[in-house]
Amino acid sequence: MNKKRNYVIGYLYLIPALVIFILFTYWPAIYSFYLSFFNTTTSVGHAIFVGLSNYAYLFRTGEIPYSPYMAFEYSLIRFSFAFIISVAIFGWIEKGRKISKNLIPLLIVPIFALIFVYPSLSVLGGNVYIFILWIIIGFLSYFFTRKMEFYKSHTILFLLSLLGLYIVAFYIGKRIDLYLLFFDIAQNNSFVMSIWNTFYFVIIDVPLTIAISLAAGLLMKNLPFFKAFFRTAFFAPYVASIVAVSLLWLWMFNYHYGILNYILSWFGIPPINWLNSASLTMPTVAILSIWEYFGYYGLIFLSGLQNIDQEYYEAAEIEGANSFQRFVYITWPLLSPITFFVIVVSLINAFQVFTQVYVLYNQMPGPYANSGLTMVFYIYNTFYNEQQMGLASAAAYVLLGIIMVLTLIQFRTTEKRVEYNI
Amino acid sequence: MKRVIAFLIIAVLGLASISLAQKTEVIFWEAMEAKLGTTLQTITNIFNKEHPNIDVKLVFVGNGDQLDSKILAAAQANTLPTIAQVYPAWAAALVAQGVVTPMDSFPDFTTVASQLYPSIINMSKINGRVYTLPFNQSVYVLYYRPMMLAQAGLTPPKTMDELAQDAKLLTVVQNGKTVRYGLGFRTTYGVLTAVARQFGGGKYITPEGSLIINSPQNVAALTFLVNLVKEGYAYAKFDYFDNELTTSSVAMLIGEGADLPFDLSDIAGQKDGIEMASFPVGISDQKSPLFRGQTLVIFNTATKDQQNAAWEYVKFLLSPAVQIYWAMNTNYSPLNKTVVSLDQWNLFAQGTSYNPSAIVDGLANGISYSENLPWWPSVIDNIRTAVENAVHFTMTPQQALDWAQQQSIIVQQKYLGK
Repeated sequence: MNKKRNYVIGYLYLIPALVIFILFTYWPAIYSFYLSFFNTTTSVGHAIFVGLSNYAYLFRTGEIPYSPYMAFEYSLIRFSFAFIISVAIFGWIEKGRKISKNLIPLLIVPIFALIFVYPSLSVLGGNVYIFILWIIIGFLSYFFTRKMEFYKSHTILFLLSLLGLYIVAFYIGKRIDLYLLFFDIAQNNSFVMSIWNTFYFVIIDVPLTIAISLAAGLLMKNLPFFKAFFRTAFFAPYVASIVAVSLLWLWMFNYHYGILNYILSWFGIPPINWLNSASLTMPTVAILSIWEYFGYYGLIFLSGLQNIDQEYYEAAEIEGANSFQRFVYITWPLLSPITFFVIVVSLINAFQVFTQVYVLYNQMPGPYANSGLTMVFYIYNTFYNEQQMGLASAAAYVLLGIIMVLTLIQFRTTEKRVEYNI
Repeated sequence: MKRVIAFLIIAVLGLASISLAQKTEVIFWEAMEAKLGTTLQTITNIFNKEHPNIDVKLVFVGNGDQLDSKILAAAQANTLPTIAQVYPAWAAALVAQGVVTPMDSFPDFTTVASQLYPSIINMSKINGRVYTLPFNQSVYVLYYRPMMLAQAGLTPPKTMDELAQDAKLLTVVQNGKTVRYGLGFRTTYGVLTAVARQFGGGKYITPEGSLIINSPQNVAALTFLVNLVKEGYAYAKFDYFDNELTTSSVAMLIGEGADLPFDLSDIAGQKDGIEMASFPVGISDQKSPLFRGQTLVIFNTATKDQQNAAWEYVKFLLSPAVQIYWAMNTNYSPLNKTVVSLDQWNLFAQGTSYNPSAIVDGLANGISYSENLPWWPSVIDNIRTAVENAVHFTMTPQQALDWAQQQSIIVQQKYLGK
């Protein structure tokens, strides 16, 4: 009885917070989902229900040289090819180490792939039977090799090999690809452009942020002197107002008087037009963003590092492990929950990049050609400047979907490697 | 009992006196920053003094875009002010929502209208009625550095051909590096429109509603600008030009009159400061300035008294005395046509170094930079992107405007529900 009462009291205490959450977080979120099915800027003056057409409008293709289905086919054939050959290469390397049962697929399938890649990508591409055949073979090679070690132990190498072989296949075949089609569509659809820009930013930003903040974390842990100073110094950008920080960087990036170009000039490098070049927009924003956040993530890494039991290091030292080995075999695995957390959080953060662009480029999406149009910028612009609340809500939900899917993939792929039992 | 009665009498008298003395309150949401804000406050104080039964309260709501989004929220929440400054496209959206009282429904509207330039009345029309009236409109002018022109033996260009010629003559190249550009311009929708106006274009939609963004005249104007950049005589970017002016790396600059108190104030007042000239004319061969600014809307959500009081305030803002004071202090164009014939203005124009007559030149023939259409901001975005792409040579002027045309048609069709 007493226990029950305690529960009730506990929930009662939660109610005020819950009410605030519902009112200011969940309700607006739900309402904006509802709004995403309405066209709010109409000739009749009030919002009208339009079903999914806001979503369709966001992904309109405009005039395109070939159908998305065809592009998908070509891309998948290329992927299958890259996958089969990569499996074969890695399988043979592994076979060199120990006996494998899967010799036959490892020998026959790649030969088939090598013989048929040229005809399928140039002549027969678009033929539905060839397409299905490739998928089946790709799937079979996965099925036979799925228990092999290389999937686990050399993921990055394997992915690189996939990418490399994909590019090779791209250059053998016709210039038809999902990636190219995506770029074609982006020229006439600013939302697709914003997805493109955002992914570009994320790909530069997240790995570098993780690498630099891990380095900062290690530095902060191992420094003999000035620990407190460095912790404060690294953390300062994170607590500073992002607008003030961006204004500061605006001057550092300045073409004529900026300190960055001045430093480059010491090494004889000609000045870089950081702020007025479409191709440099996202790298420029990423530099600012990394600088802003590395101290914060560094501190999180530091707390993880301090939680690792010293006994492991002492044992390793007695065994004669050098500092690199200690990092690879002790620090990195035991830090994995923190790394996982930082990857998830920084990825979500990176997808929401907005303020940096807004301030660096004078409230515009980049210097020209919409090169700084990120998804949040698109949402902001559509909502406030174009008053298309329905469309903006739909775009916001697409962003939510992308972030959710990516986070889910991260959870699925990394949960087995994360060592929670420190 | 006596005490109670006495208390009641006092209470009733007290309440009555409060209600009798109560002023009609007009809440004005405005976006006038810095010096503009203080000038508007001075004007409003005079109005409040002259109208003891009206109390206009200025509420500064940030810049124009912030004000627009605040109004958007207020329209949904039914907390609109009495009167507000909005961009023309936004005004059209508010009219479509049915929250705006037309200006032409107020008494003696025709008297007020007859004092304003017809161009101002024309640009305030939405669906054939005058719903709004502007009081802060700025025209595009040509800024130039007088010392630089004098050294080159030039007078300010009067035609577009002369502009191109002078830009070439004023460009200085040292050791293969351009240290001074003849002309600077921002890659905005407004700059293209102001130039296109001189090429017989500058209109992006026909009265019937077909888009003509890639008309030959507009393409010619964009080509003119792009060629100047290509030949190295002009420098174009989206940002403001304060740096280039302080370091003297541009000799002429396309800008708005109202830029003067802001971005150009760094060097205005210096010995080799900055002066204005009327926008050079092109093949159209007549002065045809481009207006840019906000407009006033009175909301029908306010009480009748408040709306009438707001109308009194609008009339006051557009009166010659206020318009001349406003123009002298902010370099916005005076919209009341009697201003130019006043001695006070002529004395000011002659006695002021930066040549204020440029902001009144050809006002009768001006047009607004924006169409009064709720979807126009998207078109502005598309055209701005086209200008950027052309000026940075990622597209030819024709391709860029074709692209903007195609994108804008999609936006228009979405608006029309097609």
